[in-house]
Amino acid sequence: MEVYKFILGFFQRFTLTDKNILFLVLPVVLSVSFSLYLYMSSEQLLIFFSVFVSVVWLLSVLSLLKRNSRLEAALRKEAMNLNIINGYRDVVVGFEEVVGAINAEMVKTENETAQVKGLVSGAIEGLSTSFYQLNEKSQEQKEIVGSVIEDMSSTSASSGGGDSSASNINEFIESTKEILDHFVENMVETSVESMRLVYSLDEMWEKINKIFSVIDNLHGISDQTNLLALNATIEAARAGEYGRGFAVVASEVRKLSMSSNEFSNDINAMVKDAMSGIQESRDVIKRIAAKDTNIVLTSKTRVEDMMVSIEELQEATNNSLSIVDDMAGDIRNSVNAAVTSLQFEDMVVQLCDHIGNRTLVVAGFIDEFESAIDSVSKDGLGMKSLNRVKLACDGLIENISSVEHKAVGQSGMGSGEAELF
Amino acid sequence: MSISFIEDSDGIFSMKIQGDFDYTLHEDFREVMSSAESSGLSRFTVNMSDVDEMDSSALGMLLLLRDSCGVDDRKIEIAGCRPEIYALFMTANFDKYFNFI
Repeated sequence: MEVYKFILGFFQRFTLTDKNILFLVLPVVLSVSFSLYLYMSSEQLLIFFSVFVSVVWLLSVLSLLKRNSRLEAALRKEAMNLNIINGYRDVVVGFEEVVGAINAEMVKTENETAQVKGLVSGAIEGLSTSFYQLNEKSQEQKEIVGSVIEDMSSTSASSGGGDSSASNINEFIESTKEILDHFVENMVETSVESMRLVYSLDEMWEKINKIFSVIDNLHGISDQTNLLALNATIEAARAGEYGRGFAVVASEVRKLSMSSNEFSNDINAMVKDAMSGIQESRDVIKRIAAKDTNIVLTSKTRVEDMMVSIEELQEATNNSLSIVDDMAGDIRNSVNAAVTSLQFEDMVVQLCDHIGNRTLVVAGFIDEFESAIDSVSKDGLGMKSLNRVKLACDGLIENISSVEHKAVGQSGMGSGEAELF
Repeated sequence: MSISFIEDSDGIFSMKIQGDFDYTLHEDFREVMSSAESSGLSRFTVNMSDVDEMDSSALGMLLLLRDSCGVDDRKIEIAGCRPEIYALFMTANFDKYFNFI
């Protein structure tokens, strides 16, 4: 059975190709023909020769078998390879797509990196300028405030600022005080002298008033004189002729007394005139003597209050100056801190450059890879194209490690150093 | 508005002014001055505790009083001034001429 299976299997392995027929049939035919030929001559030779031919035939069959099995193995390998190649073909297609996508992303990355650099540079320039301007303005402000306060402060007189507003204000107040004092003195003097005048006018008034009683007396005397003259005239008439001379005298006396009366009246009128003149003077003096004193007090109080206010103002402005001073210092410190922070620009630029480098390296590798894959598609999956791919990979790894070596290893402002250009 | 005065046996003159010390009192004031002049006074006190307001004539009158009755080196005394009145006296430098109590 085994033998039968073997022989069957043996024959099943054969496919009937030309070569097979040749190798199989030829020796048989040769041996048969030869043996027929030899049969004609001798029997031993015939056996020997047929054995020899069969052996030869067996050997050729065996070698054929070997070759078949080798061919089969080769076929199997080729089938496997075909599968691998198909697999690789799919992978290649996939890779090509991926490469395309990666390329696109690389381009975008490059663009965005460039944008970042540009934005950061621009922004930082603007910020730096602004900060320096801010500091300058703050200084200017401080100086202006300082000069205003110096101007107002009274201590500036010692620094040669004789024209400062403060010394002007103080001078003004001092002179106001002096004027006020003079005014008060004036008022008091005027009051004393005018009261003195009032009293002397009063005396004058009284003295002149006494004239009236004298004039009354004069009136009385002249009235009486008139009466006496009248009596004398009557007596003279009684005396007749002897009394005529006397009567003339009496009438003359009467006339005299009458003019005396007139004179008295005149004097009366004149004295009244004088009296009214004195009264006018007294009224005038009253107006001069009796002045309201309230203004004196309010003025003085006002001046004193003003001095206190000015002192307080000076103190407050001095405080303000020191506050402004401190503020200017604080602003300067803040600006310095901000400017220091802006130095992150260097690091950002470097990092962007590194990103750019990596991008270039990857792009380079992708190019290599692309051409390697192309060659694979063109030349087939051979050692040459596979080597190219391997070389490209090695090259990429080398490039990456060299870029890594130079990278800035920091994430914050406080640590690390930037590379010096 | 009135002036009253008391003279006691030791020649101490006290004058009291009530109401407003102004021009209208000048006649009465002169009477007091003349009676003080004539007597031999040793001390003169002006009581201002009831004085409300004062005008400039009052200042003149007081100085005239000092001229006539100012007792040698001893000054005339002014007593009981209200704050505004006292302030006015100080503004007018009256502490040079009078004793303020």
